[in-house]
Amino acid sequence: MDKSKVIVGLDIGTTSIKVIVAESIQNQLNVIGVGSERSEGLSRGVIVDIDKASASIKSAVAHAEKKANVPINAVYAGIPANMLNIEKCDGIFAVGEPSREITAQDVAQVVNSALIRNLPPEREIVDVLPSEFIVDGFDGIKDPRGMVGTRLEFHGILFTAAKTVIHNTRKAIAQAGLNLAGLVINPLALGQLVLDDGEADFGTIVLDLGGGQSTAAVIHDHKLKYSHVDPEGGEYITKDISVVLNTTLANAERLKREYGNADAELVSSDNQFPVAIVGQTNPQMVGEDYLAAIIQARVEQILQRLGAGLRQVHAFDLPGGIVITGGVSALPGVVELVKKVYQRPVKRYIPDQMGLRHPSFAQGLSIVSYIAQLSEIDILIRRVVDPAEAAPQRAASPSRPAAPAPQRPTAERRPDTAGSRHPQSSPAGEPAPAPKKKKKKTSQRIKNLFTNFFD
Amino acid sequence: MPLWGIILIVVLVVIAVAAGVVLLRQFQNQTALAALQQRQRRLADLPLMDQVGTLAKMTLSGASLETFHRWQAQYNRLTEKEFPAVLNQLNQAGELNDHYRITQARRIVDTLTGRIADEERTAQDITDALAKITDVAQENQAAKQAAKERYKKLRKTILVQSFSFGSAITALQTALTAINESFAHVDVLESNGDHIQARTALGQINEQLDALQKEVNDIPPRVNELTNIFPGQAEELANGYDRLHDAGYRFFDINIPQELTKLDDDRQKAETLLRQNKVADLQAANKAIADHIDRLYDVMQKEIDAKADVEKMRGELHAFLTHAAVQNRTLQNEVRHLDESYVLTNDEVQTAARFGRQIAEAQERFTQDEQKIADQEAVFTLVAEDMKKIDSQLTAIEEKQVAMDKDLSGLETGEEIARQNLARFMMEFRETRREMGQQNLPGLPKQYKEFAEIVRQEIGKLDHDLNQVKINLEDITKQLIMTQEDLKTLKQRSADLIDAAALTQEILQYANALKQENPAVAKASSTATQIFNTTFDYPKALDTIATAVEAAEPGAYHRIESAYKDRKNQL
Repeated sequence: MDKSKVIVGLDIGTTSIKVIVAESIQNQLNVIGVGSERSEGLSRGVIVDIDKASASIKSAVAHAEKKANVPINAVYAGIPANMLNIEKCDGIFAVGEPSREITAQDVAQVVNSALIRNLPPEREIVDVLPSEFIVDGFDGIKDPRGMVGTRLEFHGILFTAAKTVIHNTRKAIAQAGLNLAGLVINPLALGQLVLDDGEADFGTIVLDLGGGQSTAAVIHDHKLKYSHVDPEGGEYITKDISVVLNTTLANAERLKREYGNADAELVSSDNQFPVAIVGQTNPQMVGEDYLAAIIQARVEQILQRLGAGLRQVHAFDLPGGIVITGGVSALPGVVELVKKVYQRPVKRYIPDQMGLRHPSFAQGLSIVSYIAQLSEIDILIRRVVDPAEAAPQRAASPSRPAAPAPQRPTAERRPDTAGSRHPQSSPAGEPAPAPKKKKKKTSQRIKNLFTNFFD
Repeated sequence: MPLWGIILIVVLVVIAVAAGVVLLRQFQNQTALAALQQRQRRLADLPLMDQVGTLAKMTLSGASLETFHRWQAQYNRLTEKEFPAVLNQLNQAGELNDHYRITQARRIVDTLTGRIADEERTAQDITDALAKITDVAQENQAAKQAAKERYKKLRKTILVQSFSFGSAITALQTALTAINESFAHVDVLESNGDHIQARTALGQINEQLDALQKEVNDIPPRVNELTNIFPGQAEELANGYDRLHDAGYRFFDINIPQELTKLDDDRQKAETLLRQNKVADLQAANKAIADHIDRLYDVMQKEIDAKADVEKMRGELHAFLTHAAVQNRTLQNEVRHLDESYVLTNDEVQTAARFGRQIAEAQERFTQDEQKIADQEAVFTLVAEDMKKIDSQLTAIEEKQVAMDKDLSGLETGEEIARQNLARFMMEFRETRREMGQQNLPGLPKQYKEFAEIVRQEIGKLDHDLNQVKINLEDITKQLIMTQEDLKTLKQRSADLIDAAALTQEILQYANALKQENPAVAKASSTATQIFNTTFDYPKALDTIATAVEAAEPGAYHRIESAYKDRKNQL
């Protein structure tokens, strides 16, 4: 029981908002509820209208709550890769003389030191991924806690994003009456989900072809090396169809879904379908090849723009090829087209979890899966980056029928950090009690300095 | 009173009564005798004597005389024998009565009563018979007078209107002479006093007069026919025939000049009959002649009428033939054209060719008719009949042409409908397949895949059959119906599978939250997942997990199902 935790992932997409409720038991992730709602207040992947977006979020969450039959109070939210910056960061911390066992506190200190930098005012640190810890010159250490040393060094990858994007996301979630348990960088999570170990190691391109925008990410050495966002997606295809065929957007969306193909060479002009033309009473028959040509033109354009960036970083030389996912990848012919455009092996990722068998769920699922797979050290580092980060097992209410007894905090095994967070074992929605602030004082102050400074 | 007194009185009374009875009887006989005497006197007073005297003075002969003699003898017997005998008895009876011989007198009275009644009867018979002889003579006189009157009238009619009896006049006059002679014979009989014979002769005269009267009545109309009507009509017929012949009329199966000659012969024969005064035969002969004449008029009139009909039909029929020929050429072209594209199941090619032959044949006959008319060899009634036949034949052909054309035009419509349906089937099949694909299911049940393949093959066969050079629309229509039915089933099965798969996923998802606590759910979840991922029997998977979840949390399944349906309906 104590090893199970409920994680709620929130994928705020341009065309749809997805909420995935999963239970992680002994490293096995069980999805117990899914909520999906058409998005409002979003444009090209980012929130442009907080009120509308929060209403959509609220509705999607309600939907998931009903499905999962558990109340949802806190969510992990995905952050789009728009204006995402990836850079290396290093920190060093003197554990002290004489050498002693390194504690979680020390880890927090060294990470904190790595975060000290001059950030442009519009940017904000989202996440730091540890590459290695070095204890007194011994490198390649994943978790230094319990080791003995005097000097602790930290090498990591720092992700910064546009402050507006993050702020709007936080705001919309708060307005929806939810607590934000933590932020997850979309391509980072996605890469982890859709790639197998080899692909992630040898290097693979992940293309998330979404409704509002398309994101290319390069994963190599299990690290997100590069990401690029093209501000066009499935919505543009629908608009193109609507304009060219002279039909309504709703109709165009339906035509795309029912007859669309991204590769005009795969369909025959013999296959015709009726189109309700605006201003005409009788539907007109249109060949599927014509529809495919419209779709192909737009998808090709997106791929070419993404390709230009990928080419610059020599991503096409990576052996893993390309994995595509996202709503647009559900269109027949997309795999073939991507193959044709990039001349690389391509496969499509579709979640095989029950009830999520559509590529548009990949991102949402990846958020949950990412959180579930976080190691203790990862969690520790995330808390340094975002003090509001909640313990995952408390992200969801313990009132879930399947978990009758209140969970014991995992923090017991990490007395320092977890102890300081003990009061937060109550649902994340509750205000943080005073003790937490006191104990976190030193490290947190520095962090707060940065955050507050830019507020 | 003393006995002797009583006896005396009784004797006296008896004597008185006996005397009374005798006196009463005497009186009665006396009265009867008086009545009989009276009757005898009346008989004697009858005018029989005068009657006999008158007849005896008449010059009677033959049968009349014999009758008279018979009755005269009766009369003599009555007067000379009976009367004196009766008188004698009357006197004898009166005498007996006066002498109180009452019983004897009574017997004689009774005898006399019968005898006098006989005398009265005989006297009456004699009176009647004699009167009859006198009456016959008088009747004969009146009858002769009446017959003479009729004779005179008839004679006058025959003589005055002798012309109206034609050659029969001689015979009539002979008859008149014969009647006249009969009258003379009656006169002779009368003068001989044989009135009975005269009466018979007069009866014969009346019969002769009746016969003559009938002839006088019957002959004039026949004579009129023979002399005035028939010759006029015969001449008219002859003239008419000549005119018609000149105008190009020909007659079939009848030789009019010969008929006219025969008519003349018949008239001569009738004339002979008239002369011979064979009135009954004459009547029949004249009737035959009149019928013959009527028939000839009829024949000619029919030709005249037929010519009018022919003239009217010629133009129409010519146009009709041209129209039919053109129309059939069009039809044949159409059939030939369609025969390249369709399997024609009703021998349309042969039928249209047959129409063509029939029209050509009709044209040929029409041309022959026209030629006959031009050559003045045409019998118009026959030509008219032929043309009517051609017309009805063409009408029948046209009806069939129209019907065939309608059937044929149905082919193209039918093909168009079939193509539209095929296009729809293809689209619906693609849509169904795509919808299944969009579920991203791990696989599909074997049975479903096989059925989908059958439907695909059916559609493929339809497509193949519809794209042949020659298509069999009848067969295709059957296929369309079958394919439509199968496609409908496929769509239903697809929808059912999709629903089952989607619900299975949702319930499995829900079961994830229950399975830690509930081993039964955990087991069902694992089994259902296994089914879902390997045999793809989604309904079975659904059943497995739904049963377990429902057992663990009653109502959960229906909540999820209705939520699923609501969401589906919103789309």
